[in-house]
Amino acid sequence: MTRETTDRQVKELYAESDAASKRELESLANSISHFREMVHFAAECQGAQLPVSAQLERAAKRQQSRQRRMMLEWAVALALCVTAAIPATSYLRTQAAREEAQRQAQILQQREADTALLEQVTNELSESVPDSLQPLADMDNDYAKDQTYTKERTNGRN
Amino acid sequence: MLDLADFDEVVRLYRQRVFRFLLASLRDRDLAENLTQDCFLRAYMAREHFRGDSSLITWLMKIATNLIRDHLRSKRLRFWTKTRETALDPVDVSDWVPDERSSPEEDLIARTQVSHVWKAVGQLPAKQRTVFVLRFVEEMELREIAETTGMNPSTVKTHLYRALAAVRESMGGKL
Repeated sequence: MTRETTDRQVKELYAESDAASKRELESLANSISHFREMVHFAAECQGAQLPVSAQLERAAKRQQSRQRRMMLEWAVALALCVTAAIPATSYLRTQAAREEAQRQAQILQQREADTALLEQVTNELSESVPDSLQPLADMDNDYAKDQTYTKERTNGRN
Repeated sequence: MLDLADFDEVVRLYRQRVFRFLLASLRDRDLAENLTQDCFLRAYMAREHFRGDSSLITWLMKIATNLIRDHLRSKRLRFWTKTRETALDPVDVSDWVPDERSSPEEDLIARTQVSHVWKAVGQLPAKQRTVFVLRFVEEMELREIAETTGMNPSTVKTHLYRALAAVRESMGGKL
């Protein structure tokens, strides 16, 4: 492709340009044209080429080794995951056991507290006089005692 | 379907173009050489799928574009691998003469310009770079680039415009 073609290609993309821009675009086209020439030159500087069958063979070998490497990488990644998973699983298992033991201890504590409360309630129900009425019961006893004493004294005098 | 003898002719005809495209895109001579071989191996393995809907070079360039994409993707994943040792640099191509009739000053100016374009193209996103190289190095038409890259012609034009704007900016021009 000639430099004029690059110039046309560049100008196609910048259709609406003034004179100053056109000069700049020409310079840009020139630079790109040099760039293309340099790449073409670099690509032509190749060493001796192998026959096509040898090239295909080399590519096939490379492909095989790439596949093997990929499989190896996956295997290593899997092994690393397993290695990392074992301590993590062990930790999670220990943590779960600890939480279960804590839960059992809490249930036991709760059960003991419930038993104590039930015993207290039973004891209080089995009393002849409730605690709240005990002062009245005491007063009643005192009064009964007092009456007995007075009666005895009156009988003694008679 | 192509047999090996026909394929030999295909390689002879198109090897240079495929290699040049890969070299301009990847900037590594050994890598470009390996991917060129991979490209023709893939083409040979898939030769029965080639129906002739597009031209042979468009089909080969499509394979090469896919190989570049795969390579860049695996390179991102293999961040620990060593950097390129056979990287191409315009400064290294010291035998290249812009124009045999030009003066040393013009020669120097041309080399500086190439260096700027080279640097700017290297900094382009992968798709823009591919479109730029196909258009300005491989001289493909927009329709052929669209077929090669699997993009719409309008998308190709957008990428090309952006790529050219980036190159223009790096050369000191306005966007």
